[in-house]
Amino acid sequence: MYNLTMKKMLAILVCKGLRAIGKLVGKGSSLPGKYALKIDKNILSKIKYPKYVVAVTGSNGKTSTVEMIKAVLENAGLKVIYNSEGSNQIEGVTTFILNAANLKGELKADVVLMESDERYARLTFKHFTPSHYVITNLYRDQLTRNGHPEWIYKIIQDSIHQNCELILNADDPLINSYKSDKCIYFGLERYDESSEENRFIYNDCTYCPKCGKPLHYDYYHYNHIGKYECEYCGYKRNEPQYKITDVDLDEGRLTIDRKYQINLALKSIYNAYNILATYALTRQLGIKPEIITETLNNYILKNGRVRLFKIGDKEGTLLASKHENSVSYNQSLMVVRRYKGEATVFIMVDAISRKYFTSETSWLWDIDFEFLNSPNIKKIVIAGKYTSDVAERLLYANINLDLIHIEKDISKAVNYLGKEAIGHIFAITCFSDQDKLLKRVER
Amino acid sequence: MKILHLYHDLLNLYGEYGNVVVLKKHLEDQGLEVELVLKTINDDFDFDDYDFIYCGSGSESKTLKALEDLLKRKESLLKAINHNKLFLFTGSAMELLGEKINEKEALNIVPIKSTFTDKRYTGDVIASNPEIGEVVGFINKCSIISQNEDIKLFDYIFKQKGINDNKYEGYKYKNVYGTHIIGPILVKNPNFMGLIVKQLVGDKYQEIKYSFEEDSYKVTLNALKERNK
Repeated sequence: MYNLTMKKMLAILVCKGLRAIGKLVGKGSSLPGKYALKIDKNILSKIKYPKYVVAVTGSNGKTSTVEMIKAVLENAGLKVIYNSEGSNQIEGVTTFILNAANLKGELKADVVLMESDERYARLTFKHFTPSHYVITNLYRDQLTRNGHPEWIYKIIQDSIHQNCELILNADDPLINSYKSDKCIYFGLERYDESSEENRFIYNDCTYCPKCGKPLHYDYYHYNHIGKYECEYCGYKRNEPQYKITDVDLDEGRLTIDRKYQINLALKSIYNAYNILATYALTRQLGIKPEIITETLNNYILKNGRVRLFKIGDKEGTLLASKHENSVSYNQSLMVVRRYKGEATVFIMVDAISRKYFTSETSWLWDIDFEFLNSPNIKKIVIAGKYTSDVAERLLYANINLDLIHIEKDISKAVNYLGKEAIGHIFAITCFSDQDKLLKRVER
Repeated sequence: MKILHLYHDLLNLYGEYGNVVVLKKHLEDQGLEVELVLKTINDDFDFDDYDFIYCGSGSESKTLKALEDLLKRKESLLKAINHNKLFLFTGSAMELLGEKINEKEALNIVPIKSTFTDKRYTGDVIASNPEIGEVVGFINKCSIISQNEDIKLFDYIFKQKGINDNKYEGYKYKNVYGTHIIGPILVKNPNFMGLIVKQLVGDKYQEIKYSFEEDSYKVTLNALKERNK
């Protein structure tokens, strides 16, 4: 017993020590956890957790949702521990948990909140189980590492424990099919951009995830997200407990459960979903709707997805979009399309990933670049190593070639924007490449 | 000229529709009138009515679903293959024509067998064929493929660590090209596209340059060669 306690303390101490040193020298957050796990591979199961352990997973929206959940809970007066650095694999989770624990291994907080990597949650949750588990969506995301959405579906399935309360996106036929003892659903009702035909390039649920027969949709919001019912086996969207009953993206306003209005700082349907997921989860933790709506009203995300910049007298907005993730790109394209004034779009694909090497560009064909056929878009500038891959895709999106300016060299492309951009500049690029723009512009 | 994109809504996981959309344009540039036809399970059609038949990647469950449908069409498929119709099956679709997928009987046209595993084998590759030259692409599969070298389509010049194959990949059987390389392989590889277009156009073929495609190929080829140093 003595030895076991010592081992636990040692693991916690080593982790805290390394984290402190790591912070001084600016090193990443996974290493301390890695060493702690070497000392005691079961350390995470020896920690005393608070009543609420909230995890958020899914392809898109994790970081934003976690950030907003934290804001709501703190506004409600709760103490929240969360993995602010987005280190969501087991080593990173270990670092964050041990660093927040005292030497006895207790977490002195009301809520532990974490973003969980889809592929690693099953490993982390062997050691402890979330009380509430939010699953947002399953998209084609980083398929060079993730294989495909059905593959990730099965991996997430392995991370779900029976006693864990699931908060699920009913509009995603894959997510809607997860089960535990208690499932809560959230969803978006039909709105003015929903359509009876899928307007997007692909739909990963043309066939029922349960019986494999063609899946009928009453309407689509985008890709495979919408309201559906299988005419063969009866599988259907569960009735959501929490709903967006009205959304006006031009005005930037949504209504939850016919009652609670929230103004959107970022006017996108994807942001609306993140807000809804936040609302559903925090309601389940007993937070009053008034506190939630007050916190989320005009909430500006701090996670750096949207930034303003200037090139000379031209103003621009950086819309960080994930490479290898067409839904993320589509979100940015829709923001430009919806913009009320004239716009120049700057697309830069220089490194596919900052974390690993690949030269894979198939994902460009899953992005709905056709959305750039919009009268307010006056110019499209492409830069970076994979300029020709992007240009080829735009060619087949029927975009008027006269609008396109190709300049592989990023400095030259930015200079060109400074001189020739028409209207507001929207820069669409990935976290892996955004600094290549930001260091060349005024912020 | 008729192009068939088979299982367009089922096996189209990595932007594979790009192959047929761009091919159609290139054939039109050669002066042909081209019809691109999309067909999927339970649709009524005959393979022999098409000049080029393309099928792409899907998840494991969707690949097996396609197999179930394709087994019912074996006669029509064999007839077209024996008439030397041009086929390209990429990604998981290449497994359909083999003898078996797991323990399940497949179409038994090409002598390969595949077995799904619970691991993914992924990575960038350069692969080479004497007729085509060097091809760039990406493999993304969970299958182990067993086949003999004599039907191989490509020799690997470079492959990333994550790929479980031996020194060669894919197959060429009659006029059927099969490779596990995913995505718009024809768009990314002007030589491969050129070969397909040449075969479809015949004597009237004229060389046309497509600068974006040429450059995107070179950029990736150089990036992979750099990686291989």
